[in-house]
Amino acid sequence: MRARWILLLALAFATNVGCSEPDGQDNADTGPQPYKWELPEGVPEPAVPEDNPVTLEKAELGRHLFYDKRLSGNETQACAGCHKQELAFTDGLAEALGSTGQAHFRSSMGLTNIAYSSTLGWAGPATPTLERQAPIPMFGDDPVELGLSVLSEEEILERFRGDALYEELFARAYPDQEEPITLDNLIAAIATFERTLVSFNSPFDRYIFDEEATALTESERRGMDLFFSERLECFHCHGGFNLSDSITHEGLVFESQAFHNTGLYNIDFEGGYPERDRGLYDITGVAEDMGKFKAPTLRNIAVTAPFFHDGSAETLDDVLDHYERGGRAITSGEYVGDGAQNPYKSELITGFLLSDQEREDLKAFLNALTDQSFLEDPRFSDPFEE
Amino acid sequence: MKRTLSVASLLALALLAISCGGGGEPEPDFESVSLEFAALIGDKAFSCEDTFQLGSANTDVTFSELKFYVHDVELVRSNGEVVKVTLDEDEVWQARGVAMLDFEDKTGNCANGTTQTNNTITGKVDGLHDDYTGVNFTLGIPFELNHADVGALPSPLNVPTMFWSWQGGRKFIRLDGRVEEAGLRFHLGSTACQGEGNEVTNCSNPNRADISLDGLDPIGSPIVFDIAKLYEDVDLSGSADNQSVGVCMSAPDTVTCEGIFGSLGLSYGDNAGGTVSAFRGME
Repeated sequence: MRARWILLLALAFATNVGCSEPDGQDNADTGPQPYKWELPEGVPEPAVPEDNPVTLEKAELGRHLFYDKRLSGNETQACAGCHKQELAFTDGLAEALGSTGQAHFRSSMGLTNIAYSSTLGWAGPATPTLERQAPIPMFGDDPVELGLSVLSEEEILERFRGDALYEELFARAYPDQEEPITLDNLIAAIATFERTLVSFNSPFDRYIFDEEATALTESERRGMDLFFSERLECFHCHGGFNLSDSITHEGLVFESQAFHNTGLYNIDFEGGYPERDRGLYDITGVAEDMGKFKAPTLRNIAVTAPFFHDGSAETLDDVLDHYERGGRAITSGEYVGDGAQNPYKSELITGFLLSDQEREDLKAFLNALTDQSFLEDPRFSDPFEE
Repeated sequence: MKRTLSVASLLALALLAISCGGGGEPEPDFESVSLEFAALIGDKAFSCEDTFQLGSANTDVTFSELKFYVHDVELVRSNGEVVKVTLDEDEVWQARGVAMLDFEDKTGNCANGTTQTNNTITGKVDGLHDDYTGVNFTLGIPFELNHADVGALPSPLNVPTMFWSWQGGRKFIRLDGRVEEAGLRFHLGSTACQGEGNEVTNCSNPNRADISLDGLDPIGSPIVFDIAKLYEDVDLSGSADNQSVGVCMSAPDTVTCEGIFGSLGLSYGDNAGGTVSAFRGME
């Protein structure tokens, strides 16, 4: 550890003294405080848009808004309605339910380390920032999620103006503005709160980054070796520090957005996915994009059942069955077909055979990706229940 | 790794001292050089869209990814003198003495990639000569950088798709595609590594390929990475029955790796290695 501290000190010294030009500015005592990321050594900081720096005050405002039901048209549902902390900000449903009771065609995306994701949602390359994503559940009407489109911008803001709590939260988050309660500021604060949902304290992290050799059990370590093996190939899409291949972070120049068809369906024997959701194909119209979805982070995966974009796998065993077979065979019903034969399937999904012990080890490893402190962290919890 | 990280920090300080101390101008007799690489399949240029014939059975393949790292670049003069190339540090394509070459451009089958490409490395040499007849470089990333965490390293050492695993470090080459209906994948990297967590102490199979080419002008014409030569001794037919026929992930005891490693001069199993065929001059 000591040499690493030396490195950090050296770099800090270099950064502060090396090239900086004296600016004569010191406004440390006033205004919002820069957010302090709590990251293990070796994990880069999230990339943050220049026009929306993360501050403690803005994150706190965003947290309140995230949990506030006034942010739905009929005031029955908050963002947190589909993103529950104890479930790593998923909701336990195969299909999310919006504020009007309409079912979404997709399963709620977990928000663990969402700041590190170079693409948002299950197949959405067009919404690269949280600031641009947040309005989709807020205002979208197909399906209706929060259903705010029934209100005017003024009507939405009126719900918060005059509320002493929000007058103060907005003022502290945006101290330079005379009228800080605006829609842009509201969205920027929610995006900021989401950006702070950082999780790197699982047993896996303590093993990898803190070098705690006993953080993982023997079974979990065997499972980790399987996960990172060329035999199973899990890690080619769920790799790197965030266990995903759509990654962005501070200091990253080459950001890629990767989408994969994993052979979940093959309903017309030509690679078809259910029409209600065909992934990237529904956006691009390119045949090769049929059934392609993001490989989300597997952090906290064990608490996010049911799995996949449509919640069509109930348990981790179902997920492993799918990958073990190299694609899912559906033998009855409207989606009958052999996903293993899907012509658009990723060439990485070739199948494997697990012994009973190996399956248990792999599941043990996936469970070791759960960061219990993240699921209980008061900074991310419902402020109205305190 | 702990020790090497602190060496890296000293290096970082030294570089900073050079760049900020007012004495940062290169010595007057240091000359800039650039070396171009070309990725070919025989005489055809690498592309994300075309179908090529590869291997001893001339099997149809397509490509979806090609990136690789080089370091320790040297030019060789006609009198045999070896001239070290100190790579520029742009922290985009080159950093800490390592450069990344990138030939996929997100078109066609490379949809999961990035639009940016790079076929040139740049650096400084001590003195200008016009009689270079050879080039030496090492394919891969030095051990002390290979296993350092992403957050500690600048681009191109932090490219997510080149991160392999905490044990293996980075992929030195990533070449992906399809051979008929199965995967074509060559990931060169260190294997049989020991250590706990992110502290890797040693890799029994480092798999860094030392490439020495002569009889070419490395400044005047491209250095060719010939994927046809890479697979010359590999039979890629039969993927319908054997999905791993096109797969070499640097593991020991695979038929596919044996031929590929040989073309890079790397030892593999009983083969001692030595002769490089997959890199060559432009013909």
